Amino acid sequence: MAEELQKVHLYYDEINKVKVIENNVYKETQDLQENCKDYENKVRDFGNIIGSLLDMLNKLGENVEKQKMAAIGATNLLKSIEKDRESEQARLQAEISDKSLILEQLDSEYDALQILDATQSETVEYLTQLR
Amino acid sequence: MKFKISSFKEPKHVGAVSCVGWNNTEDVFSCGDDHKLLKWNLVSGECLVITTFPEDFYPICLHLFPKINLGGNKHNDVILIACADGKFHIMNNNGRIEKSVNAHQGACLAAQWSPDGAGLLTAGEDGFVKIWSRNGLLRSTVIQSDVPCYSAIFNSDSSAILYTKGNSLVIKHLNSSSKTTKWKAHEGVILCVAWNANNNLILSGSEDGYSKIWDQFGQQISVSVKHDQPITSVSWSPAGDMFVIGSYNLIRLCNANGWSHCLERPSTGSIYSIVWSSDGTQLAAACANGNVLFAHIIEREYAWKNYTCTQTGRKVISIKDIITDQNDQLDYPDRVIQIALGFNHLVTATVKQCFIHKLTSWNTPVTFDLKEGTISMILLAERCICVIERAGISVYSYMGRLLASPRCSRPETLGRAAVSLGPDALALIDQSDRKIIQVFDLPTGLIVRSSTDNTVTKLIHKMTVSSIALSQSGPINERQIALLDYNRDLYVVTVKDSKPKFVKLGSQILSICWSAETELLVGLRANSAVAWCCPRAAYKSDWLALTTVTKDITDLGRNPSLLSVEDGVACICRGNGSRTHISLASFPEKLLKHVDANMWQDALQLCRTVEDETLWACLAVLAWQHNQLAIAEEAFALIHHYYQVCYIQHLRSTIPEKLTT
Repeated sequence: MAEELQKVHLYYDEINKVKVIENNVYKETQDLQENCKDYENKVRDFGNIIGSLLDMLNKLGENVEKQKMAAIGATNLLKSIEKDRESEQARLQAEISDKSLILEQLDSEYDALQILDATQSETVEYLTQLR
Repeated sequence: MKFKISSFKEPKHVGAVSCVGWNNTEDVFSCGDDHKLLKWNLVSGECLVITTFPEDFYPICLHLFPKINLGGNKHNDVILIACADGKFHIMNNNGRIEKSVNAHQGACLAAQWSPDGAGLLTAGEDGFVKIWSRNGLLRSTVIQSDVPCYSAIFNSDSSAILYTKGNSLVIKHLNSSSKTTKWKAHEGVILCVAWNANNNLILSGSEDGYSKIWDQFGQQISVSVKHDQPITSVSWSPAGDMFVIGSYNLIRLCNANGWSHCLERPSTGSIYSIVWSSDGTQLAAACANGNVLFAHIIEREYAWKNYTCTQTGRKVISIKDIITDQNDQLDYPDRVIQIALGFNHLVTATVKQCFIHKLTSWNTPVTFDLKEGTISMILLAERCICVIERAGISVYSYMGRLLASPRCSRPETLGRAAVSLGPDALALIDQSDRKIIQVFDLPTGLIVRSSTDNTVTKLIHKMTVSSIALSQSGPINERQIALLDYNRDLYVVTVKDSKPKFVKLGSQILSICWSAETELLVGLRANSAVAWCCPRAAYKSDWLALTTVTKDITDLGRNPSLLSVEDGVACICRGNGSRTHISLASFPEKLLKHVDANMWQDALQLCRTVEDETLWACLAVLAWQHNQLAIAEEAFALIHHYYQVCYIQHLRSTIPEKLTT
């Protein structure tokens, strides 16, 4: 009887229920359904993971952008400091040259006064010797 | 010497200030890109808005009418402003525009009244330099060129114009017969020039960061250090002894020889214009950030014998006696303008009064009032003080009594070298004809002053005279005047001779100075100092040679000058600004003092002790001149002038009773 039923594509299962599809096929369909569910879950998980990754990457990007700006700012600051230092150096150099000019003046004045002192003491000595 | 800079905390102008000008020594006009004309009073610290011009009024250059007496007809429209639209405006003190003239295509970059007040010049971006009459009518277009003329100025007597042409400077004489002088002055475009009336030197500042000094023939006198930024303004002090240059965030004060007195770096932006007040102690600067900067010259130092004095503030002078280490601060009610130290006195002039301090008791000065607040010079001599103001020259005694007021036209243009004060005479180089020297006799002692006793002696030299010096000792009829002429030849004249004879002492002399106490004349050559112990012996060249002492000095630098001669020690200011004391003729000066005091035995004793040929020669000449035949005989014998000895012996044997007494 079962075979006749098979001919009209009706089957018995283990608990003798009448089915329109073959037992094996039914089983495989069931498996497929489960697998599909599994797959769906996994895809959802993957979606979640990717979402969080994107979030993270976005955050990272923002951070990098921020750091980049900070770095550019720091470089500019450094450059300006460099320039400041240069102008400060130039200023100090000018001051040094001014001061050294004054020093030169005073040096030569001192030398001249020493020579004068020497001549005068020579004269004094000469006159004392005469006495 | 340095600046004391003061400025208002908040800039009164909105936007850059482009030009400033002194109305008198207290008031300053300034005009800027905010179309406002402001007047600043330095005494009260006030700042008034005189007027606001229309929106399209962008001033570039401002010049005030020179303070000269035009014989009665007083002009009120005095401010000349050149504008970016090519116009120049003449306005009165209240800022009302009296006349506007369309002068140039493009901007009008420079405008100046002529020093004699007869006209004005303008220079523009179109390369034209034009001369206009006092009322703004075009007289002539002097120069046409294809490059913008950034600056153009008159010389002191309005006979020539200096203008810039790219990297070059050009002097154009207005009477067409003279040639124009043109020379390449800088590597960059020249932005500003100044021409001093006193020393006739030209100052130029350029985009290449240098400022240079030139003489009127285009020879370079000195060059500054390189500045980082273009030089935007230059200005001579009225006396011509120093100048300032302005650049981005920088003001520098320099000596006329080019070395720097001081450097200031105010954060003001570029300094577009600097102007000195007429007394040469203050300056105003127009700054790009809207400030107007005022600076006073302080820490001027003076020394005489054991006294030094320094101006420490605007109204404070500190004086010190080095030997006793006693020092003091002298406070004055007004701003101190001029200081002179010497002959046992300290004389200071403030805006209103003149103070005469005795150095033995400097706390009780004698004071007298000044005519006007622009005193340009104080000269001291043994018995009198000469005060030179714009209003005239006055000679006072040390008691503050007016002794004389010699007449002179435009006395404020007199330079240090053109005037000399002796104990009883004042000599001036005539400003209209510089070959003539006028010597005014001053009343001495108790003679009552009247207008007739100012006898003037006129001496006429064959050349232009550049520097004069009166001898400081001896009686008035033996007063001698030493003069340097244009060729740097030194001549000596006795003023009171009926036929003044110019006796040449030497050539190539840079500077001269008489000793303060005797008739010792010291001159400075490029690398030696020369002392003429008996300038009166100059008519006999061998005597002159015998009584001359020369000492070589190395590295005097360019343009050195003699400051003083005391006890045979000459004080020299070298080209680099340092002072050198040279013991040149201490024994001859001692001898001269003995002779002046008529102590012939002491003089003889000195010569016998020192046994120096020059000294004996001096004694011989002096004794011969003073009819001391016995001494002259001995002295001439010792310098081997036997013919002179024989002559003296002959004289003594024939007419002894007349000459030996």
